[in-house]
Formats: sequence, C-alpha cells, structure tokens
Amino acid sequence: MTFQIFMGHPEMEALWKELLDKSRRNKLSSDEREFLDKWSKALGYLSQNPKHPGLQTHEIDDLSRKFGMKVWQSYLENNTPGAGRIFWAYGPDRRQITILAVERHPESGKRKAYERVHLSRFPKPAASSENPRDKRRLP
Amino acid sequence: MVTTIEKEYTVHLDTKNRFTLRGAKTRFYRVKVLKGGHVVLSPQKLVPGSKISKDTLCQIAESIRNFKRGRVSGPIDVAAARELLRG
Repeated sequence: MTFQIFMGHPEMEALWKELLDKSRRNKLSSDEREFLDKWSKALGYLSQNPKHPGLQTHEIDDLSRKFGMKVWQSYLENNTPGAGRIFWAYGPDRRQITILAVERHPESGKRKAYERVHLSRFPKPAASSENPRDKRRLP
Repeated sequence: MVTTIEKEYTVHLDTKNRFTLRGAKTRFYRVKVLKGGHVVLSPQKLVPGSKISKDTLCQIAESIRNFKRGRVSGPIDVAAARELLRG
C-alpha cells in the first residue's frame, strides 16, 4: 500500500523545492545534500510503509490531544542520537500523508531539554526580587 | 472550580508584609490579587520542558490549521527526488 505525500506548510514545500532545484543545478552544500538525502529517504519509506522500522514511527500523545487529531513522529535517521525528525498526520484523504513539520536538529541532545524543567504558567521573576535590599537580613 | 474548605485561619502580616502558609502542599503558587482585596493562590508544579522546540511547535500548529482548512501542497514526487540524488 503506497501513500501520497503532501506538505502542510508552504515554507516546507518551498524548502523542498529549493533543495531539489539546487540539487539539479549541482549547487547543494554538503549539509544540504545530507539533509535532503535523509529527508527524501524518510519520505520514501513513509510513502511505502509509515510503520517502517527505520522510521521508528510513534504517535505523540500530547500533540494528538492538543490538536484533536493523531500526530505522528518519525526519525530521519536510525540509531543516531540527535537525529532529525518529521511530524506528520494521515490525510487529508485515504492513503495520503501530510508532513506537518521537519526538524533538522532537535535541540534536546545539546541542551539537555529532556532534563530541563520549568514552571508551568509561572510569571517571570519580578524585578523587585533582584533588588539587593530585599536580600538584606533583619538584625 | 468546585471545592470544599479544608482549613480556615487568620494570619497577620509581619513587618515585611509576609505571612506563612500553614501546611502548604506545593512549593509554587500563582497569585491573583482581586480588586476587592481578595488574594487567590493557585498551586503550580514543575513540569518537564518541552521536547519539541518552539519553532517546530509553531510549524506543526500552522500546518494543522492549513490541513484542517484543506490547504496542503500538491503531492510530492519522492521517487523523482531519490532518482535525482542517485544520479
């Protein structure tokens, strides 16, 4: 069973076309060539079998809940830390897949995003707390 | 928000306008000061940072908006791209 692939964002479509155009003119940088190779390979697998083992496809529950439709994630590379990934959804019609986003380099690996925690809906520290007088202890 | 009162007590502010919450269950609170003088404290908790960057999330949201309106690109010719890269 094959799937047709669509881009959900005009910028992504423009990037795809630009890279292909550069490839035709032999103007791709090595980074661009590497990225286009991985991206097109992943899209190839996706069009043949979205659950291809090389893609490590899995649903992102938080996104599915947030957007009210199933959002899937697949990796551009296999067994590579910090691999790029694509987010996609089935549709608009049967046997069609729409690419929602592509991420070349997730920031998680470098900046330990998986370990970071932040305050949920908590305001930024008020400027007054930086006032050295606030730190002064009472005698 | 439906809730029941578990505790009720009177506090007074110290010289630095502080008071102590008795038996506080969380470390962080969102404070809302209402016009009538009421102060509402909503418990907050630490949550793991998002694993997806802000830019990517924006892109996903935008794509889904387009998707739901039926505005997606034309079909992508993946085979031709693979062929181009091989050649």
